[in-house]
Amino acid sequence: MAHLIELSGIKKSYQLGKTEVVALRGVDLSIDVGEFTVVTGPSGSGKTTLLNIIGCLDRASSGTYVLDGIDVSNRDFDDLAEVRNQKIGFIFQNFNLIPVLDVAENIEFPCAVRTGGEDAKVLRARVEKLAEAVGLREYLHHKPDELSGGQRQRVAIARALITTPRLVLADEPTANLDSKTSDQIIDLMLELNQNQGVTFLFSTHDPRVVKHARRALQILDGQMVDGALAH
Amino acid sequence: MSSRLPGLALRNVGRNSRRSLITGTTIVFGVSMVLLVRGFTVGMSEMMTDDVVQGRSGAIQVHRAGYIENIDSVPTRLNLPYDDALRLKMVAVPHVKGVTGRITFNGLVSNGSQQTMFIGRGLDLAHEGEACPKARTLVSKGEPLEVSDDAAMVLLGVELGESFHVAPGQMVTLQSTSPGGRANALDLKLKGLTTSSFPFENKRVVTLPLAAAQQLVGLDGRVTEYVLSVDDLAFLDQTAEALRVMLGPEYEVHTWRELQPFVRDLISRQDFVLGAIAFVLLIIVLTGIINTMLMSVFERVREIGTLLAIGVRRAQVLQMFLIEAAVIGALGGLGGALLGRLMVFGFAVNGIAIKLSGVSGSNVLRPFVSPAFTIGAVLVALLGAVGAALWPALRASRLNPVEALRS
Repeated sequence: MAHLIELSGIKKSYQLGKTEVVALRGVDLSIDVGEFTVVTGPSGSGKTTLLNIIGCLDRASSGTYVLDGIDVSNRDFDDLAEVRNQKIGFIFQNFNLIPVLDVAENIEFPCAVRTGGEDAKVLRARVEKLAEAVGLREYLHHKPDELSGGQRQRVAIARALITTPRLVLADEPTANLDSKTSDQIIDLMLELNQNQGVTFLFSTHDPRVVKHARRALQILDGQMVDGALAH
Repeated sequence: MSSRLPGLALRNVGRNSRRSLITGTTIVFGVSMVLLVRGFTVGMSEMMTDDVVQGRSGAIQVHRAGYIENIDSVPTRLNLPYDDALRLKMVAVPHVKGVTGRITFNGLVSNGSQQTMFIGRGLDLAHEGEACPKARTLVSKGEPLEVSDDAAMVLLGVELGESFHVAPGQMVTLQSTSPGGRANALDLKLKGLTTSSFPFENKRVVTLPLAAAQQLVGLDGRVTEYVLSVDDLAFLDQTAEALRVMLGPEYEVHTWRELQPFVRDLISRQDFVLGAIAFVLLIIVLTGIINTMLMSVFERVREIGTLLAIGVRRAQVLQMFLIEAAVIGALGGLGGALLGRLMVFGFAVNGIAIKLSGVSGSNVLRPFVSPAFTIGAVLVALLGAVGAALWPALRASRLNPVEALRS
């Protein structure tokens, strides 16, 4: 069976002034459907760069990246935008909700921006179902600034799932949450992983997230130190 | 574009309401000022046109071919028959409202002890009102000439009369020559003094009944020009052309624009000044919009990164910012149009008594702005706002999502 993510010899370097910084030095990595994986490593190790490439937000300088059977290594920006919209859900450290939209509108936004999107009523029903799943059924018409940090991250999770993506990428999803809320968020994502088979890939420094991961990847100086550390 | 993004763009307009309000107010100010300036310029142009057309030259004049080319020598030899047949033929041309005949000539005027050159205008008082109804208002002292007057009456330009120390009721002598060179003189009673903002007219023009002028220059039954009024100046050129066709090559037909290049040029200069003012206002307004949109982009870099991350295309981001600018531009433009028209209406209701160079007597300026110009101003505000937002919007759409999310 093909892997959901397949990275081969991924290298990434960029210019910082006159200096060339090498962020990834040849990463080989495979992730299967349904995995709950964390990427750890110190600051500057290259984990965010790796997630950006996996999330099709950035392109590798060399190497190949196959996502869900599609070679996305050399796709242009608009192609990658479509891939992101169709196949990837994003959860950000700072939640990154759109402040002028309410909870329901934030959740449905990735579907609503599609050209010729689905019927509004059907979409709204799915939004309500997801809001129910993340415990925000009563907050559908609240604006983000009326929610707590944990509630905002729940909205972000629901937004990441509304497109029924093949992969959810979470960049330090608990970094701005207190420990109790972090546990709730991790439990929620674990539940979604187990019950709905959603594939999660995290970058994190949080040991509680690492503790719950079924697979932990460590990156150091742009290279995978241990590609398959299973708990 | 999906239905959500325009909605998001609309909400973003109200996001920083104070800034949007300031920008919108700038546009309201700019558009309303443009309309007000336009209103005054159009009002002024119409006032001057009205003064010329209804008080001086009429809308159209007909001369013998070659007259205008030799106008500096006041060529009475290039005269026309003055009869009802030709006059009624002209009246029958569509849009021609009234026709009268005049003789323009030159000569010497004397009060017994002084004499000077003058330009004479012999008017057919029975028909002058049909072609130049406001001509009577030019008289500032004494009385205007009337049809019932004795033919031996005359009006002098106010400065000419004052320099001669003559008052209504006193006699002056006019001397002139016929086209054949025969000298003639007439004693006429001064009935009044005419005032014009054209200094030349105050110093040199003498007005008298047509019969007296014909007698003085030996042109019985003839005139040097026909003066015509039209029912609608929008048809001026069309009417002039119809007259040319009807009269043939022996005659020449000129509109007031050709006969009064000074006024025409004054109106053109006013239009130029309006254009310059409008341009400066447009630059001020557009600078405000650029500033607003740039601020908006800088404040929302991470949000734009989020939009790009979740699959919004660059073109959609561009459109979103342009819609924001268009909404501000349209609302500001409509507000400005409303305010501008209200101001124009306010000034137009009572009118403004004004006296400018080239404009005679007591003229009332009534600002006016056409619906077409108003719509144009709103469209310029809208399109200008979109144009001004293009650069900030392009900046937003070209953001690198990775860097934008990191900000």
